Amino acid sequence: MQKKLMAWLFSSVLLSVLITPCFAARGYEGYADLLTEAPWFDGAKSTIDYQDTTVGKIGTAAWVGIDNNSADGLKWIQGGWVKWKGQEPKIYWEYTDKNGDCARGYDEAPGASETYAQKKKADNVEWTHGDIVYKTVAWTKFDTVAFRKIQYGAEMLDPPDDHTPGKAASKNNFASSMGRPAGGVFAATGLAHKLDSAADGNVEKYGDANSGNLRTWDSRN
Amino acid sequence: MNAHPYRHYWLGLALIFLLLPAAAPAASLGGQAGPLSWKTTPIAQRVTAAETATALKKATAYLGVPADTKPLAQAFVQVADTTPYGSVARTIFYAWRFEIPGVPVSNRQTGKKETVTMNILIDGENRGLVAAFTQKNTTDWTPRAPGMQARDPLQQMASDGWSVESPRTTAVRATVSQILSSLWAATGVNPQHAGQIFMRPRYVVLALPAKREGGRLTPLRRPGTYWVVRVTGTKTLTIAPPPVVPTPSPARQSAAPYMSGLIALFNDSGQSVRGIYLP
Repeated sequence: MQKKLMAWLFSSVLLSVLITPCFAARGYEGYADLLTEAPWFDGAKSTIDYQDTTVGKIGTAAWVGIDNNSADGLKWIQGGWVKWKGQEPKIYWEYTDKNGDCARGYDEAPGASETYAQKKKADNVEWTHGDIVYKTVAWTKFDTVAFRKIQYGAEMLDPPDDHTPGKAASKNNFASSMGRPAGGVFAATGLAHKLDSAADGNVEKYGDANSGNLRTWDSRN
Repeated sequence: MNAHPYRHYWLGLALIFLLLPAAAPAASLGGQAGPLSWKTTPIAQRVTAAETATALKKATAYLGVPADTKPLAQAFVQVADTTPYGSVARTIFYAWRFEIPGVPVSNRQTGKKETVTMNILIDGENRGLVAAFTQKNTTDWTPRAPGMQARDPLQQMASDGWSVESPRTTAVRATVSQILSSLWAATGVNPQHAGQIFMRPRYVVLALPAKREGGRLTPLRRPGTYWVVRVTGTKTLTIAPPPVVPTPSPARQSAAPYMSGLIALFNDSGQSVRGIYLP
């Protein structure tokens, strides 16, 4: 098991060299990791402490999720915190299932610093924040999807008008970011692929190499 | 000689024309909004002006506008509700329908203010609020995104753990004005420019959010009166797939798919609690 974990961590690091951030329509600050073989991810979590978000034009979000990393039909499970321009912040759940049906909903945003997680639990996928379950969906909707990628980070829907969450003096934190391969346990995934495509956006790891800690901020204080 | 009797008719017609502006014009004869449809009924002839005045007073209170607000149109109608209640697939009842202008709405996040014209149905028996809705806004109407299939809102609510029933009481604390304002602040849907908004107070039991206690999920919100608000014909969400690494997804570089509907839930204090986007 440990050998397998090391293998995909090594592959992830290798692949990270090839990454060319060219996300024109949106901006991402964060990290992703990729599995090269099954067991695929069936869980993701991160303790997100969102700070100093400026929504200029559309919206910004801080989230954690897993997906199949396929340009030919993306399937994903995602959850976190979102703030749209002129709206109250919310927590959201989102997925696109094996049939390509996308669904999304929301609930009231809790206070800062919550652990957001999505994971398979018995026959369902559960979205949680803290110890609260805020969405469940039958796992049969995803049972043929190879969730090879995990991502933790911040997203700007219209950079540079929208800002990366966090400022230099109060960075947006993702702590203890972890993934779970099916049948395994939650563990740090290496944070191999740096996603750094937002104008004026920044991202860095901090703390112990296996802490799963990262933080984001916008240069425009 | 023969012209003499018609003099009285002209007098009568003149009187009718003089009196017409004092009363609100009759609302359109029939129509449909959400699961409700309505049509004229001969019963309307037996409804007294005093009963209509009482219903109008209730309507202005539900909406949150001054009691002396004059309706643009009014009618006593027969309503068919296709919402299934247990084994009952269709319910028929009578109601007043008023079209009332000047309902104030404001977005507390932005400070913007608008007024909207609302249609409201008041139950013919208990004077409860059946539903309030805007007319379909054909100017701002956003069609369903290409390739998106319609989803049954009742099924969506059920799959999200909402158990929705008829209200247990006609008393509500929030006004339509407050709920519309909350909708705007919570979801960005400006009632003035929405395709159509349809809302009803309902008795709702929510399975989620919940805490796991002893292996069971215990719901955190208490059952009670909630407002179910359905938005249609409005761009409510742009779907943003996660990036593909190392090559970003082509989907994000072409026209993004979007949702054109929403079911939003508010508690009876006017606070947004939960929602589901719809294609």
